[in-house]
Amino acid sequence: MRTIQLSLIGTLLAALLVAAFLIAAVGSLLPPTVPAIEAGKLILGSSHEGERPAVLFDHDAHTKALGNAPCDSCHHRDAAGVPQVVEQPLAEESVAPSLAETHGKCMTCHEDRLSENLSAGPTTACGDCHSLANNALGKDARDLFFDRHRHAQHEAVLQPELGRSSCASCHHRYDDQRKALYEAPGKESSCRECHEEASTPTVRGLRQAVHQNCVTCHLQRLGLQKKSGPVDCAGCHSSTTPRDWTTVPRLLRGQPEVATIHTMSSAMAAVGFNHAAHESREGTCRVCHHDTLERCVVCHALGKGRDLQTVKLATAHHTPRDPRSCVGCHELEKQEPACRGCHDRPLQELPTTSCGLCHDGGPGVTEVSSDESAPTTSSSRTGALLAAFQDLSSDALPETLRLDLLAAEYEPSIFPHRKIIQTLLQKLEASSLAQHFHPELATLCSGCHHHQQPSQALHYARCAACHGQDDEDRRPGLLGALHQQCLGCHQRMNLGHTGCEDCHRRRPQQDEVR
Amino acid sequence: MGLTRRQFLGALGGATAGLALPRTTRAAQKGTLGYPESFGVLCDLSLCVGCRRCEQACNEANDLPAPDQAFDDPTVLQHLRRTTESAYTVVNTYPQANAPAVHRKLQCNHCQEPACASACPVGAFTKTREGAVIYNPDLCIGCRYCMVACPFGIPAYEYHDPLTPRVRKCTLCHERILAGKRPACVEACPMEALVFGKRTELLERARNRIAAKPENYLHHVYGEHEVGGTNWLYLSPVPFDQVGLPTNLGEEPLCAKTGGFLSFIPVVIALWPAFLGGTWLFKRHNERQGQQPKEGA
Repeated sequence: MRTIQLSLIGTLLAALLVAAFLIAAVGSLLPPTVPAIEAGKLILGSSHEGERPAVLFDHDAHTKALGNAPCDSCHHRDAAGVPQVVEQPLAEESVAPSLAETHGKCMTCHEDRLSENLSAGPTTACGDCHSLANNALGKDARDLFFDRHRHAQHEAVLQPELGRSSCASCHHRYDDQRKALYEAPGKESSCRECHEEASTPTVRGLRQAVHQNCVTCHLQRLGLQKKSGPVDCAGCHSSTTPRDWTTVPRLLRGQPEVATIHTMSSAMAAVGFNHAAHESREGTCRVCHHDTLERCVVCHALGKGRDLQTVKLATAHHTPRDPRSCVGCHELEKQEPACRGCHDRPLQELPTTSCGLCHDGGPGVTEVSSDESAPTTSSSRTGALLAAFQDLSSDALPETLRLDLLAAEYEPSIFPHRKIIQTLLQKLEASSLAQHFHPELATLCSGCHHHQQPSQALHYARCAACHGQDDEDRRPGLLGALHQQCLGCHQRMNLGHTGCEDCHRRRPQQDEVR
Repeated sequence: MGLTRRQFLGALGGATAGLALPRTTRAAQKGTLGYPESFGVLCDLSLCVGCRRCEQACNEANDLPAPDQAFDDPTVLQHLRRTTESAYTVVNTYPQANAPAVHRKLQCNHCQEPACASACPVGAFTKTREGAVIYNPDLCIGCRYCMVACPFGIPAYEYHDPLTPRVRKCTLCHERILAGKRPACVEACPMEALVFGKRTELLERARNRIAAKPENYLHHVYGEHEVGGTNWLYLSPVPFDQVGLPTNLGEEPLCAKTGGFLSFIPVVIALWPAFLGGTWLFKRHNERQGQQPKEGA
């Protein structure tokens, strides 16, 4: 009897073990879910090994629950009465408030509220707060981009009140000798120039600096019944929607409309860089500038200096794979479907034929418009192309081409030669970048008429001049060349019409035969 | 002490060389598999648009029966198919996550060292000098070992024919090649996703294509080394196992795994009856001698 009991218990234990193993195995097979940290939530406490997991602290829920004077329940105030933001708690050398302090504050408050029958947080089980598993620390979705739109919002409120000195509400410089902040009109920069990720003894970290400045100001203005910004997390930390930056006013701090970028060699002309036009395309200055708003050449040396630490100016502007370089950013723009028909692959090396399009000698040599987005400029540029296009006779530019390589099965395909160029010109009109880099009609033509130097006279060989019956000399045959060219473009430009009968209709008698 | 240090080291060196020798000869063999001047087809999956004109051309070139669904019916591509006795080649579509679907044409890959030929007990398959693996129905006994042996599952069988069923598969249009023409499917491909040529040149072209557009291709030419190399070569923008090509076949010809054993069988068949017969005769002789009264005893 006893042995039966024992064996029964043994079997049960074994079954349990197997079940536990299976559950663990299945659990490990499932991909770990890593949720992004939402706006309004903070991670409190470290997640070192052997400790309780960190707390996902819902700041907005606490602010809401605490009513009139929410800050003082948790935050200290400094001598000036400004609530202090705690340092980033997840950092390795965390200066987060001590365990006793947080537990004392949190738990006392929770218990007090519970006894007063108010909504309260957990009071007993540790895991109710410490619930954030280590692997749950996903990408921080709380990144905030103080872009030109937000800047303009602030300007619109502060400028009427304070005039030119409104800039100093946020922008300042630090005098090392006097150990004091001072206003420096015209030298405004990005916060990050001085405020780095982590605090130093003299300079607060970015996170602390912006929270104290922004939230304090918003709270003060609320108290003064003035127009103010949000004081909850999600109010600022909400994802920004893409917008048309050309409609947002420029940030003016004395930058040139058109900057001259000099080159090392006298053989290469200077670049007339249309700063204003580039500004109007981006949300922040930091797309090109790093943390300071200095000119490129201040850090990127112009020539062959002995300094091996810094990237030379020419490299900084010409690296195709770096989106912060001129060429790299233009490469990114060329990923648009409108461009992908011809620009079907990333730039491998700089073309030697188009240097002059940027290196035009600078603003003194050629006229560069101050505002490229102005309708007069863009229309005049494409206007010239359109005029050149319309001037071409149907002899020089056939209206349509008749392609009947598959005559046995399909009716001839009518290739709308002129219509295709017209469509490309329309797409060109939509992009100031494209307009700049396609100054002549020949530049467009060479998209299809490849391996032929763009010629002013627009004389091109027919496809069949190079592409023969089948693949000779490792060139595709005519049939393959046409299909690869047409279908490739249609696919890359998302034009649709990629079925056989979209171009050539099947001959009816073919069906009768089959 | 009969063995000096010098002799010992010499013997050791000899033994090591002896061990290494079979490996080096095998490695040297790798480059010389198949016929060096043979033809092949390079199939570029990044170009294929799944139009099925290759299927139609194959059907017409081989006088195959009309298909159940017309060749211009794209719904056929919604499910995966395999080659049959009436379709030596089929195009399958393999949808990709976050990328355009990839189409692949299935047909006999014409291995340099074909497993079907090595499995065939009657030698009905021939690897020709031109690269094609062709089949002789007059020799075939219908055992269908070739169908089991093929790592790509290509040969099909005329199960519907009770009297003279044949194994059916792509012939690389061997007749057409001999007549100086390209295989029918290659000629029909409007995208020139199929290119016909000398296998060695095709390998070079494949590598050139990868070098010219490295972001377009997986950096591997399928069929260069797989199962000892095939005369059909593939370039793909996605991993080959995602377009139904097995990637676990290894680089050794499949016949190398079975060839030794199979070549031993005729020897056994010839010698085993002789051995057994001899044993029986010997035993009977002994028994007879035992029955006879011994003289002088």
